[in-house]
Amino acid sequence: MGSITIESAAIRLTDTILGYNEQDLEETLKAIAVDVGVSHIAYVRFAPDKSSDASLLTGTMTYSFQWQTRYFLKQYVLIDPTISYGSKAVLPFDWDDLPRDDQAVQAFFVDARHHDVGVNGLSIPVRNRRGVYSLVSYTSNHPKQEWQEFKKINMIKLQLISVLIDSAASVNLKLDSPPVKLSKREEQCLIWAARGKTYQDISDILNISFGSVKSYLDTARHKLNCANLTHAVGVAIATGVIPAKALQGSSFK
Amino acid sequence: MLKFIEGSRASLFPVEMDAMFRNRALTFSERLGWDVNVRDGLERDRFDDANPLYLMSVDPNTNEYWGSLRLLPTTGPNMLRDVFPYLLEEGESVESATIWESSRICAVTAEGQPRRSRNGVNFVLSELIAGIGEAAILAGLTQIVSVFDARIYRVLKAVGCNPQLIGKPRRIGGTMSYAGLFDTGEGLLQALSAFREELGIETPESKELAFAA
Repeated sequence: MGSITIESAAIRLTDTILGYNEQDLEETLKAIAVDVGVSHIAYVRFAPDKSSDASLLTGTMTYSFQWQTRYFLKQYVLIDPTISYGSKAVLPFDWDDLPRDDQAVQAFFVDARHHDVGVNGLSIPVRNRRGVYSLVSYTSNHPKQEWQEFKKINMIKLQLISVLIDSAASVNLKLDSPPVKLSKREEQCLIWAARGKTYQDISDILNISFGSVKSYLDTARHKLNCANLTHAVGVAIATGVIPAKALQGSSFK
Repeated sequence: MLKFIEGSRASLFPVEMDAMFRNRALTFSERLGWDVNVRDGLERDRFDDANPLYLMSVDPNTNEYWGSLRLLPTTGPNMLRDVFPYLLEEGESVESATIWESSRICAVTAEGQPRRSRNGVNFVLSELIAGIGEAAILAGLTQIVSVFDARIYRVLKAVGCNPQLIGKPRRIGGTMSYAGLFDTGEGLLQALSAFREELGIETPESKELAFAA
């Protein structure tokens, strides 16, 4: 499966967040699944009041309509261990590592497999500023060894994509997203990055540590809902978060 | 031996958790003089209710508690953002899917612990920092941010983390406190495996993922 590229997936999500993408989230997730080479993507948001009542879940997923209906009718949410475990977990987890002693749970996974959910599953918990917990799951049908390799190589990218999916879902749910406001340092670093400077250059120019430059740029990227720096620079300029003028001349300090 | 314990599963590890909260009270309230809540000899705060990931070092033979830390994603509630923002320049924050925060690192001295390294770093602290490196792989992280005192700063430097200070150090309680960042990834793991070799630990410590139902 190798190393995935998430650029086009990320651009779809950023566009959704900016309101440039008219596609609904399910269509966007389908396109992303193709981009990153997985079978399905499922997004679930847990009710912020910490109630475990299954009816308070909201979600968007690419599974077949038939499976989604079946899952609802059979009340699988009550035994699905990805939900009970994932609603409060913080580390990403493989579905194979969940306890499966319960026969009902085993039967659930067999049924899921019959409905093309996928043989392998990985869930990544996401926490956002509002303190809301959500879970983004990726499934595939690759042989186990390839799947292990896939997770190992791509976990950082999958984290980034998962957080973007959570932000895109907020837009989808018509929750207001806070306006992007960069701090002084984030803005300075981003402008120098836009002018083609490396982390080391920026660290020398602004007289701050290399690690700080990385973290300022990473936080700016996160605030702009982008998966990489180049895209963040583009979005910052396109949305006026940094004025295009700032890129001209050399008076900027 | 390292244990990774999900906060949501903490009730399955009552002995370890109790020892951890007790040692945190001794370390942060009594020794460092931080203004933390201690009740019945246990130090707990609201971030313990936010389902963090705990890394715990225990005696591989007796399972006795040796030390611990906790990790929280910076996209959600975390200490630097919600408790120590004044350690950063005004308006600055650290927030990213691939940066988690480490807090409440502490250790006890007990019989049976491997000796200190030549540069004087405590075995348990270095094992916990190695654990951060492993957690970073499991979670897909690029950097760790943390608030720490001068002693932990020295430890981070000694084990090869190359911590970089951000913001401005401030006196908290009786102790100078710093906010800092370090990279995770191969560099960190290599530095730590060299460190283990120096300590004469031949086999890597096994770790236990606390998935128990």
